Amino acid sequence: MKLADIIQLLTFAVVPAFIISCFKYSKLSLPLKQITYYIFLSIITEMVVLIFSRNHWENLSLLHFYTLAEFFILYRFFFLSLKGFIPSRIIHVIAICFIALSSLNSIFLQKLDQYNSNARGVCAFLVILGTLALFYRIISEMKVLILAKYPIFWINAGLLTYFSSSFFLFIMSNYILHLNNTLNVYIWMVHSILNVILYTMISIGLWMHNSNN
Amino acid sequence: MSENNIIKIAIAEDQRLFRACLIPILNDFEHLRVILEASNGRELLQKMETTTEAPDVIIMDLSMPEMDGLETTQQVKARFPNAKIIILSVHSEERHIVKMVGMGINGYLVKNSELEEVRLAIESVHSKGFYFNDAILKAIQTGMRRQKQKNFVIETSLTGREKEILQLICQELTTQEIAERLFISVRTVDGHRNNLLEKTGSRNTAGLVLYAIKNSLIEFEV
Amino acid sequence: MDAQQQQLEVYGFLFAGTLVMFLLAGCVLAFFILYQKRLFNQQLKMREMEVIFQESLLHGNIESVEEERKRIATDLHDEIGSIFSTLRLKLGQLNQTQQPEILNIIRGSDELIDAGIKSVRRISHNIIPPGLEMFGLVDTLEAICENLSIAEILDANLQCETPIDRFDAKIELGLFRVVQELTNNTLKHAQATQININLKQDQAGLHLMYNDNGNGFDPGILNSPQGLGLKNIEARINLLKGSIVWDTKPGHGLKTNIIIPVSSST
Repeated sequence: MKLADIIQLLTFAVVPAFIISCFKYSKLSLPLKQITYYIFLSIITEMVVLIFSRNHWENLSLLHFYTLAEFFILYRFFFLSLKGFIPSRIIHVIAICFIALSSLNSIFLQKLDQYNSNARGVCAFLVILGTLALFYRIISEMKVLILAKYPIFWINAGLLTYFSSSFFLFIMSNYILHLNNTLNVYIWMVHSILNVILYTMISIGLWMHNSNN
Repeated sequence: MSENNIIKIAIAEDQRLFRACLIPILNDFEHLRVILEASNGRELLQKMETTTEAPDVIIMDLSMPEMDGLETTQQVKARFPNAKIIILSVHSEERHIVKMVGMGINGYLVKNSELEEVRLAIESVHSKGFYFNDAILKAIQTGMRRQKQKNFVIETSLTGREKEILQLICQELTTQEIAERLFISVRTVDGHRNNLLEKTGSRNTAGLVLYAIKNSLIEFEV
Repeated sequence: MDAQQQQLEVYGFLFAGTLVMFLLAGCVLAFFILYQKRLFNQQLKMREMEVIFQESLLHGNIESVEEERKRIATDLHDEIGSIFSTLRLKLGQLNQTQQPEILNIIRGSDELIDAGIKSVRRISHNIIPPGLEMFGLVDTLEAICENLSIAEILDANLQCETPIDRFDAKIELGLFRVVQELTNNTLKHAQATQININLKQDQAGLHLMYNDNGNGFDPGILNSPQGLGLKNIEARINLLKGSIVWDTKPGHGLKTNIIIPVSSST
């Protein structure tokens, strides 16, 4: 079984998260709903990528749009979670700047046939900042009793793990794109595993949600 | 009955002022002598243990520090059964008077009684074994009526003669006078009295009066 | 070779960097979890301590109030009461000998003194019932019920399901105050026609059940300023290490169950 096949299999890790999201959708709080949108985005993107690759269409361009969508959803998530803690204006400004710069990057700097490593890197960096801010908020407000039962904890932990571990990969994704195919498979395999970890933690987080929280 | 002998009195009272005033007043009477004073129940018992002359009548307050009137009465009845007890108190709660009589006191006076009444009470208690003035009797009657649910005295059947004697006792006749009235000997009267005490479960004459009131054998019109 | 070495360096850097970031994230999480737990426990402990502090303040308050009451009642009785009683006695010595005007004055003075004695008694009685220490809680509660029934204010009943021992003075006084407060509340607010008090003693302790058929109230007011009197009752029960349960709602009267753990004093 080729590694590429394993990678493809691992993409199914999103399914449990998807099922739980559907189940709990109506009862979720607003920030958590954004995470379900993230899952929906992921699953749709995976399916589209599958279709493209079966048809041997170029699917790298999808990534540029995916980056924007992914950033937008996470921006909504952090905005809702950090409301009251960080002035909303700052978050809005950062978001607008990123969207603008990422779009410019896709048009002028790293066109649609390349990895938009700049955008992905900055996105990862911003998400990391967001998770750290959110953790800080949880600690300083001290409203949480049992962390293990707090959905935001799991989701935040998942986001932090995924985006920080993938940071270097995102930055260098363009550089290694045509460098060494074998090693590339390995590195993207690592990325898939990180993805699985992300989806697992999101699943746990959403699962932990009940109306009391 | 005339008092040839001197009645020996003990006083247990925590209000020093009152005590200091009462004792010389009582001593003024020829046939009364205060042989013992104490400021609370414990002191009274201690002094009664060590004294050579036992008091005939004890005048005791209800509320005293260290040992109050209730506990002191119990102790005195246990250790010095011959002593008669008169409670002299500011309070006149009906239920408390009834309880104290049930404990075996012989008389109850309120503190603002006339001096004459105090003297009368001491003499009565010494010769006849009880003293309750009209007001106290009324209080006892009311108190007992309210406590009708709690019968601490078993209904017994008294013989006709016993009932007669009980009536006369309540009318404050002395044993001699009862004997004369009924044309029987003093010893017989005493015998009936003891039977009455046993049958009614009373500790003393005062208890008999209580029993009589409770069972409506006599009515004190006040 | 050079290119390949460069490649390896690049990928090596990539893998290492990824691993490092992964571990970093792990450390952040670990620190976060530990720190949060510690902070939370600290806060919990502080809140606990504050509750204990408030409680001890309240208890100290109750105890000092009762001490003061006892002092006042005792002083009233011992000092002023005794002066009146003695005055009466002394005046009594005068009675026999005098002319009519003087006799009148004496009689007038007697009446005043009697009024004084009564007054001291009434005031002292209102502060602490005189028979409580001597005759006990049951007797005093019976007296409360009797007084209410006689004055035809309402029908009050006391019932003892089991024999009740005498207890420590603090317990009896505390429970008396609670019943006093409950009856006052019933009289002031409930517009009830009946009060029932039920006493029972078993291994769990002394059970006191108080209920009236009045207006009842919303148990929610316990958390509002209006519930201060009720909170006081709870504080007294708390001081005796007991528990109290309120069972009431508007229009349904009041029922409370109080349990005090006891071992009899004698």
